[in-house]
Amino acid sequence: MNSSISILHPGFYTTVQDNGRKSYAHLGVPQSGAMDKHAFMIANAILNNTPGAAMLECTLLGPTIEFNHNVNFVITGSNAGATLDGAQVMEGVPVLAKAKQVLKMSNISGGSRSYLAFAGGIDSQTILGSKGWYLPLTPEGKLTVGMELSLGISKYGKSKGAHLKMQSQSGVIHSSVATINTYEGPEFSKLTYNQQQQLSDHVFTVSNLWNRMAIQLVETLPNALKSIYTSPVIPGTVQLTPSGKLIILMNDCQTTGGYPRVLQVVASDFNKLAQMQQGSQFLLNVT
Amino acid sequence: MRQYDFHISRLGDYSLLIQIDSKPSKYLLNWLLIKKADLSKLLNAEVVHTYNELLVKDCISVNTNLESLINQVSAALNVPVSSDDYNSVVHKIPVCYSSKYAADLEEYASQIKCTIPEIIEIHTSIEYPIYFLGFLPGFPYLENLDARLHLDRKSVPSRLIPKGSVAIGGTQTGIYPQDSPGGWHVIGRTPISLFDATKATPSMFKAGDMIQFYAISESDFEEITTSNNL
Repeated sequence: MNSSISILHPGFYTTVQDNGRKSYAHLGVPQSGAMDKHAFMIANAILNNTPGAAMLECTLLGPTIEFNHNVNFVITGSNAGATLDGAQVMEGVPVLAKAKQVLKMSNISGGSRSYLAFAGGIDSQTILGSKGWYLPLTPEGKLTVGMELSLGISKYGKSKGAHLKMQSQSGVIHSSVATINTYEGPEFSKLTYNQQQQLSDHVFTVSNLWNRMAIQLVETLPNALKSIYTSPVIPGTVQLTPSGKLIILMNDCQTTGGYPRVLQVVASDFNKLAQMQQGSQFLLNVT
Repeated sequence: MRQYDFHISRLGDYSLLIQIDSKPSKYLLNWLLIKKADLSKLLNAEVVHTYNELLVKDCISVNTNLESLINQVSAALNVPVSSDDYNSVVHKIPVCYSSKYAADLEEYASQIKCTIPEIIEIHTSIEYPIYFLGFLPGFPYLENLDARLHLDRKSVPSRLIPKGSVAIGGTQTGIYPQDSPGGWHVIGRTPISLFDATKATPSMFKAGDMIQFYAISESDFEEITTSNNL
């Protein structure tokens, strides 16, 4: 029989995520997958899981869960203030939870997303090659009270190799104003010199519209650039709308879009964006 | 023999974007479909196409020699396409245009100054080629909408356009494969399910196929819906 966990409180917005859906963009299917890949990969490595094993991605407020069996787990990403039956749980350190123990995560700090992984991974239904959740492609969209999630077979402690433990979380932003490196996007050259300068000069702020699909920025750019023929977009594409709004596309974004693609975020800086929330500030560096 | 000028650039760290220097047309669509298949095979990568672009996804790694990759892609794109023929599948799609399933039809009719029977007549008389799928899983971008039916998108988008809705946005018509917010005018609904993620071939449509709509009654609509659920 597989191990499982039960959801006592879902947290603010908690989803099951893995490496996402490959090879279905041509049908209009979003890529999805864990936003902070760095935190995701470390969690699976610590537990000796397969690199793409599914786990919980917790946003702003983590869930409270009860273990139905003895299970090794780890929390990575931003600080989640977690306790297991009242005892503090450190980020990045694997813990063996006993059956009936309760893990309570609280407000997430230092960033916006924490990752809660279990040895063996979450064994949700595979849909189009991924166990991750994306409504309405998958039956579930986010955690709700009373859900029971089954886990895969644990390989924790079975390898002779070194066990990975870590104390600090390098995926999380520590400075108040981050720098996000970008490439010029396909329509960058159509911007005026002034617009190009403003992209590099402004301090940008994440607006209240931020989720797994996109991050919209508060600061606008005076814009006379027209829409383009609907064209391919990918996570990290920065679009400029006719009203001058800048939108950074994230994992659950559409596969095509009609707004000019002015910048493309460098892959290694995407994890920083994944940890931002309303009010986070950053500079854009165009390389 | 058909050939196009193109420009190759990187999109992000892992993908190549090919922009074709031409307006959308059915000839370009045919060329794109052939080149998409060629590149996909050549590079063992997923290729996404839109009106006049191809995106070769995740074809660049740390070990890639970018110059030789671009040369390889250029060579494949420069092979002329000999035929403009494309053997299209035509999907006949039932649509109920009655007000129960067409929230915006009356308002839309008054704005374009057509009667509802005229709209149905025009909308069902044309075969629409599917240029590509995007926006939502299985959403077809269709061309060929009669100019009499063109109308700019709503200034305030609807919060919920129901699954199966057939709608008009600007110069385009389309079908919503799932519930979604949207700014298009809903003129009818199909009881056919366009996208099933649990199937090996999840999308009923593929780029290059044709769609023709035909009008059905409310009772036909309900009958088809019931038989879908059996």
